[in-house]
Amino acid sequence: MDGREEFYESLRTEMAMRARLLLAGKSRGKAGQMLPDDLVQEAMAKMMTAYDDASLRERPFNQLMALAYRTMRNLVIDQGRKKGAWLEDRRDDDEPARVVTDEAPLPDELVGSGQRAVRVREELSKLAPEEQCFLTQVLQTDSVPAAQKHCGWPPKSPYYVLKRLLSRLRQSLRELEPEATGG
Amino acid sequence: MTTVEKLQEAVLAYLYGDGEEDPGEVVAAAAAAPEVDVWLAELDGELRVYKRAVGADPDRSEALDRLTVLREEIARYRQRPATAPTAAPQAAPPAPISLAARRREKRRTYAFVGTLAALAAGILIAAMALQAGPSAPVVRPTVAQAQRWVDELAPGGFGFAGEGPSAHDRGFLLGIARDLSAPHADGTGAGAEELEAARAIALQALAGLGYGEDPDDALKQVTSGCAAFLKDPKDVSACDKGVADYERHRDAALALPKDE
Repeated sequence: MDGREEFYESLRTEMAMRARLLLAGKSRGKAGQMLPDDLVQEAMAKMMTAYDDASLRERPFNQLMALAYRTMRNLVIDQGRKKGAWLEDRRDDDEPARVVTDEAPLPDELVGSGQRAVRVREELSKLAPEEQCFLTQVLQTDSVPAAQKHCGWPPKSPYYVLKRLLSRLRQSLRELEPEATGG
Repeated sequence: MTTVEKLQEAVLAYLYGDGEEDPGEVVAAAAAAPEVDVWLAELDGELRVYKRAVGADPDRSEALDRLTVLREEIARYRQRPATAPTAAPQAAPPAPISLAARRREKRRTYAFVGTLAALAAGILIAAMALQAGPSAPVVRPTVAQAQRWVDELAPGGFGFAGEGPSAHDRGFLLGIARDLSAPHADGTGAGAEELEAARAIALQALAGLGYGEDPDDALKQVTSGCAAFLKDPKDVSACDKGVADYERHRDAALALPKDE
C-alpha cells in the first residue's frame, strides 16, 4: 500500500467511525435512512471534488477530521430535509416530548425495579423547579438544547449542569442499594 | 475540572447535543481513559431507570442508542493497531458551551498548554544541559565545518529547487543550526558568527514552506523541532531521521581525529 492509499484508508476508517456515531439512533423508524458506508462514500466524493489531494493530505489531522465530520453532518441534514424526516424528529421541533405515560407502571416496575424509579421521582421532586424542568425535559426529549430552550435554564454550561444533576440522581440510587439488597 | 470530568461532559454533549461537535474526539479520548468505562456502563443502566421515572420509553431513546454506539466505537478504537497515526490518545474535548464561556475556556486552555509547554521545554533544556555536561563528549562543528556540510548536502544550494529541501534534508539542516546556536560547553553563548551562520541555515531549512524571511524567527522555528514547521507526520518522521543522520554524521566526523 503506497502513502496515498494509506492516507485514504486511514481517512476512511476515521470517517466510518464518525458516520456510525452520527447516524446512531437516527434510523429508528425511518425508512431509507443513509447507511454509514454510503455516508462516508458520499462525503469523501464531496471532499475530493472540493479539495485537491495535496490540500487534504497536508491538513493537520484534527482539521481534516473537522472537515470530514462537517461534510457528513451536512449531508445528513440535507438528506433529512429532502425526506421531510425532520418533521417527525422530536429533537427538531418545539412540540412537547412524546411520553409513554407519566404514572402508568412500566414492565420493569411491575417486576420490582419500580422502587428505583420511585426514588428517582422523589429525588426529582426535591430539585429546584428549573432544575426539575431541565432534567425532566432532557430525559424525555434526549436533547439538551431543546430542554434549555423549553425551560429557559440553565443560562450557561448546560452539560456541566446535566452532569451535576445526573450525579445527584446516581447518588440517590446508590443510597437505595443497601435497602434493595437487604443491607 | 479533571480530564475525566471533562470527558464525561463531552460524552453527555454527544448523547444530548445537537451534533455540532465531532464525536470522534470523544471516542479517542475515552479510548485512552479506561477509567471512564465503568461510568459509561453504569450510565446506560441509570439512564434507563431515569427515563422510566419520567415516563419516557428507554427503548425509543436516541441518547441510549448513541451511548451504545459510542461504547462500541471506543472498544473498536482500542483494537486499532497502535502504529496508526490517528490512534494517539487525545485530550478530552470540551463540551459545547456558550461562545463567551468557550472563549474563556480557550484562554484557560492556552494558558494551561502554555504552562505545560514551558515546563516541558524547561525539562528538555535541563536534560540537554545534563547530557552536555563535562562527562558527555562535547562535539560541535565550527562554522566552516557546518558550512561545508551544508554545501555537501546541496552542492548547488536549495533555492533553485523551488520547493526547498526534502524533509530529510530539512532535518539535517535543523541539526546543524541547532548545534551552531547552542551554548558552548563552558556555558558561554554561541558567537555572533555562529549565530549568523545558524540563522542562514535555518532559513534554508524552511525554504519553500512559506514561513517568511526573518532569520531570527526562522532559527527559533527550526530549533523548536521538526513538528514545529512540518505538518505531515511522514515529513516529520523523515525530518527527525534527518536530524538523527546529521548527529551520526557529526559524531563520526568530529570524533574521528580523536580516535586516530
